Amino acid sequence: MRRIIAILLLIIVAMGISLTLAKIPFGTPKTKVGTHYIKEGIKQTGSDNIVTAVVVDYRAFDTLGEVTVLFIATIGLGAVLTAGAGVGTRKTQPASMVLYTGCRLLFPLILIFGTYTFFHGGGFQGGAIVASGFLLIYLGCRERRISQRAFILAASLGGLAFVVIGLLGLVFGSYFLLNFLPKSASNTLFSAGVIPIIYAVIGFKVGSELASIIDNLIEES
Amino acid sequence: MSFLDNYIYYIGAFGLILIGLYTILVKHNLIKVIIGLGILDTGVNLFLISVGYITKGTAPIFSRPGIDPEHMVDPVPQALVLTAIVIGVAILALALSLAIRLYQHYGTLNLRKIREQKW
Amino acid sequence: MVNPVLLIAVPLGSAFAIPLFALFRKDAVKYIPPVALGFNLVVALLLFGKVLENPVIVSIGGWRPPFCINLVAGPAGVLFSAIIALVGFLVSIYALDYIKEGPTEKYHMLYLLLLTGATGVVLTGDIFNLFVFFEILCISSYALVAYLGDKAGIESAVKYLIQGARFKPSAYRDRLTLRSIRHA
Repeated sequence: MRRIIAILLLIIVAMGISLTLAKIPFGTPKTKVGTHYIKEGIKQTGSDNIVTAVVVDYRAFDTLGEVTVLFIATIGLGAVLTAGAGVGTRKTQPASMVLYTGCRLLFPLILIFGTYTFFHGGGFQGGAIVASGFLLIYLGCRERRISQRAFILAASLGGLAFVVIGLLGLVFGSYFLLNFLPKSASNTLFSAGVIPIIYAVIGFKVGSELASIIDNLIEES
Repeated sequence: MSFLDNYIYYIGAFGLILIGLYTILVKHNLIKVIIGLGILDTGVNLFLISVGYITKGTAPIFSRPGIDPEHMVDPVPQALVLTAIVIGVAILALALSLAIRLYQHYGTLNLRKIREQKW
Repeated sequence: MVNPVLLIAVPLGSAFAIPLFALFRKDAVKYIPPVALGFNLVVALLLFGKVLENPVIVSIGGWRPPFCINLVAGPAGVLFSAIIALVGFLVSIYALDYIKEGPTEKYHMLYLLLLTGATGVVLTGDIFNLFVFFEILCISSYALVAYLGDKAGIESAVKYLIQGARFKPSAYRDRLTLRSIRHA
């Protein structure tokens, strides 16, 4: 009975979606906002990557909201999974010498690569790479632990830095999140004003939040 | 085949959305419902990106000095989907942690047996 | 004239600053939400007389209006954010004494972020921004429902999460594609 109702609902939703789809041609330019961003992007923001310019400069408020959502997920996980003592930890076999040494060797390399990705690719991607470095340490060498407070402190420092950069834009130029540092020629490190700084802050924050989520979930098992 | 060539991304995203919705509505196991939530999110993001595609367009990055800006893909849907993917990850993380605590309280993950609250 | 961005930026910044305060003095943390929400209330009341003639439109980032995100502070928006700030202020004064068990500093962070999301929903002028602030509101309420970790709370939070997250992606997908088509 429940399956029949579900299939009926799905048929209605499918008809609705295909009516929407029939009106959208595939592969033609659709918005004039997009072409404006491509044409004026380098001149106005100084960044070569137009997607970065859109995410961090034109629509920076959305990025602030999204970073806040990840922060809420981290705190919510921490509140749910530690409120009430869990079951005792399972007995695990200690890792062999090769695995242990290999993990400790790879960890700084992964951190360096993640930090490099902050500037060449994106803050979110770099944060995910840094968190996977922490995951490697938690899987390979079980005894090393970083306390939960340190991760949440790092995440909140990153968030506070983002809001303070926005308020500095308010002070200097009377617009929140204004790109107020000077822009120089492309292909240099700080050629886009405040964009690489914001991306580095975002990457730091995302990395510490994801690592805190991993720490919470591993401690639970 | 030109119909399939043009619209393959739309059909793929559409199929993923329907599969995700079916899984959320019908399955009893909580983990399967959460997997369905993830599939639904993936389908919607794929749909949004494929709306912004321009035929024979490249990524909107000025990596070499001579790139023609006429043939670049629309950058706005890509920025929106970046945000939406991260929000989807946050919801999945929260849902999984709630599933862990639910299992500790009830001993089962069958949604038909977890009915202590009337609503 | 006060900038309406402060209505969103100040509670957000103080929510991020709570773990830094908890490093020094753990019991001073519960005084931060009333301070931030009192500031919000004062700013909303100051703006209210100004927006009765024409609404204040603030662009974030300094670009011209169709190419950036706007905050539209009209009469309804400022009235609603004043109501949100007033109710939040009174509840946070009550919570000074009532929240004793569980990880209390996380409660105050989640509470401030919930009110930030609510104020952002009311004040924004951009559809995708509306989606993002609505998500902030919803996720912090999922976390607050499941806060104590007892049987009834976790079960209710799971049902609330599945119902809430089932229809949100399809709603914003429809709205966004129709809006992008209309701009062409």
